[in-house]
Amino acid sequence: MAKSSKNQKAPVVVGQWDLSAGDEGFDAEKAQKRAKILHIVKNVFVYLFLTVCAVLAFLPFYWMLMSSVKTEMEFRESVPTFFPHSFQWKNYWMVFHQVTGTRGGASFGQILINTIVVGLLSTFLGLVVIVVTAYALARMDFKGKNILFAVMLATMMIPGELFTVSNYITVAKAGMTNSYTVLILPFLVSVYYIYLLRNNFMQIPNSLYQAAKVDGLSDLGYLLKVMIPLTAPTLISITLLKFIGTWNSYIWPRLVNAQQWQLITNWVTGGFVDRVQPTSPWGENWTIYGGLYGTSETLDTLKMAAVCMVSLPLLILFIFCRKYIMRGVSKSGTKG
Amino acid sequence: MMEEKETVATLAETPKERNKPGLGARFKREKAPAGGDGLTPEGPTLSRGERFRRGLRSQSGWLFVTPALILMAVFTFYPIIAAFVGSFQQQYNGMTGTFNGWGFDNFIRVLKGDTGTGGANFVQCLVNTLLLTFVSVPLSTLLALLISVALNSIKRVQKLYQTVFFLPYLTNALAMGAVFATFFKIIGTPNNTDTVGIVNIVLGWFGIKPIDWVGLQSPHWQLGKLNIPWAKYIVTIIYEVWSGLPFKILILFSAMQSINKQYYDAAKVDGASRWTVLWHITAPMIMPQISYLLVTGIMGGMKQYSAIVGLFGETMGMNYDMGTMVGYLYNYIGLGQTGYAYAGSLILFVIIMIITWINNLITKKRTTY
Repeated sequence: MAKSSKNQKAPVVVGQWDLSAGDEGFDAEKAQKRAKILHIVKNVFVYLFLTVCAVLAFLPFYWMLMSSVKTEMEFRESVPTFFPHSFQWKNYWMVFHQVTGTRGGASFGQILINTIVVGLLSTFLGLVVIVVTAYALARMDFKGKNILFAVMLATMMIPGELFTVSNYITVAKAGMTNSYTVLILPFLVSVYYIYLLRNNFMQIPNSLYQAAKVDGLSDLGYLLKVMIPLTAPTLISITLLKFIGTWNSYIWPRLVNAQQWQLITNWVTGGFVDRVQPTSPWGENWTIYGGLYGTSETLDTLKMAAVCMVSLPLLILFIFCRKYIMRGVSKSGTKG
Repeated sequence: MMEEKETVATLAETPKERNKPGLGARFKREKAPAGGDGLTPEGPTLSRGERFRRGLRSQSGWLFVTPALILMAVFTFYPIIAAFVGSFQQQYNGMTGTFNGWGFDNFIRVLKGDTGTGGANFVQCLVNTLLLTFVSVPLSTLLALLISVALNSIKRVQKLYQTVFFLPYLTNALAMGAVFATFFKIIGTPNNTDTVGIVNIVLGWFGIKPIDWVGLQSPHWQLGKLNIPWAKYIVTIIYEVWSGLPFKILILFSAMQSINKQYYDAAKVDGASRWTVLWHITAPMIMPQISYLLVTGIMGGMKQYSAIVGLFGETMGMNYDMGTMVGYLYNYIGLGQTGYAYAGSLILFVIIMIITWINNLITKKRTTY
């Protein structure tokens, strides 16, 4: 133990005295060699640890993908196969045409349209509100601005769950349930993004504003042509995180809307059974396993196909927008 | 060149100082002559109407914040008041607005578990939430720390590892919860098991008998009224460590990367070992990030719900034995008992405030030594 710690320190010392101690050349070389070996061994351990962790982090994705194309029989084999014998793409067709849910029921197409419409609208409208508010808070002078800003920041302390109960009663009383509006309106204002963008706006030097004025740019033109391009990275991050937020939202849509108005994450919680329902091109009774598993038992292979259909778009988005997403996340620490 | 422009700009700006406030002022100024309301007097002698109008113009910022303010008034400020009022109204009916007197009845019934609706039990939910949070958050922070240190010490394929470790962040808690459940699930009838699941197979190599991790036969301890479903806890903690890692690694790793390299060079000159460097340079430098992660992790843990639904379904286990505090709220909204939901949300609010307060105490202490 003591010896090894001595060895550990040796290379540094040798490195320091390399030039001055010429007569110790041979010993130094030996020690350096030993240090090199030690370094390699350490590196092997580090890489081994990282690889094991990376494999474990990636395993659920691999399992999800492979399970989604297995046959149910293969999935239930007592010793699971690591790679499927054959790819059964039918699982995806089955899930795609399935109408799931207890309250009304909805097909994947309907749900996808809901999610995209709500996602785009709430992202776009939310951005408008955020930009306009942040601009006013950063660039304009009006009475009570600082108090307003402080009050807005103070609301960030309160957990959002406190609002949900009253908001549910509010929208139910206003008759807004079962609509897109109810999914968009309550989440348009996000104080954290306003705060983030305001700080970004304030970093833009005032001299730019005056220069733009000389060039004959109006205030609106200045906002659109100078401020927004300059804060583009932040805006892109906010856009992505807001859209991902809609994609992943589950609690609120389930609370206020019936199935055909819900979003994609709600669809995943439905049961996926070996029976295609009326909307399918094969008619009502088309099955993969000929009734072997009944018509009420959720099959894990089908469920994994549904999970893939929800998760893969996010992973693809991540691959293309890695930089912006990681920057946005490290700044805000929220999922939108 | 920039400077030149600036001087020109300031010169040009002086005569029409009034343009400064922003958008609204500009638009109104251009509109006014077109409207043909005559010439407005310039200089110090202004009519009362004009002074009023100018006063309004300088307040045009309010116009910009109005959309946000209206939305916040309806969906943020009003609910805060409503929650405080509603939690003290006994037997409140959210739809008709009727209630039976004021008092602490809701809180007492929530804490006693005496809601008479067959819904989740608050104390059970509270214990679940606290246990899961205070085990999984330190665990995943520690693991994230180890991975970040390892990641920081390598030179090759660093980017690749970084990307792989960040992947779980962008996933859907519900979807991935369902995937994790398949690892632990025993499929088949009690008499004729198809498969015991990967985890049980691996445990079988060490001679451990299959455990029904997520199913109806899941083992648990009974402590009076309280139920400790330890097998389900383990499953949930494993999922939460996995899903909590990406964000923590991102924060810790970027903090380590931004440490000034001179410190390490100085340590090298002094002949410090790797561990000494880690304990005396890296650790103190990333302390703020670690405490930030612990606090945000605990805050997030207090609000956990989606992952539980993904793992154990919408009933949160058997008889809500895996219920969480947020799950409790939604359970009672669903049952139409908004009074209990209000009371529960207020208790959650108080707990989060206490955590914030403790955190402030600790950070203050740390900065003063």
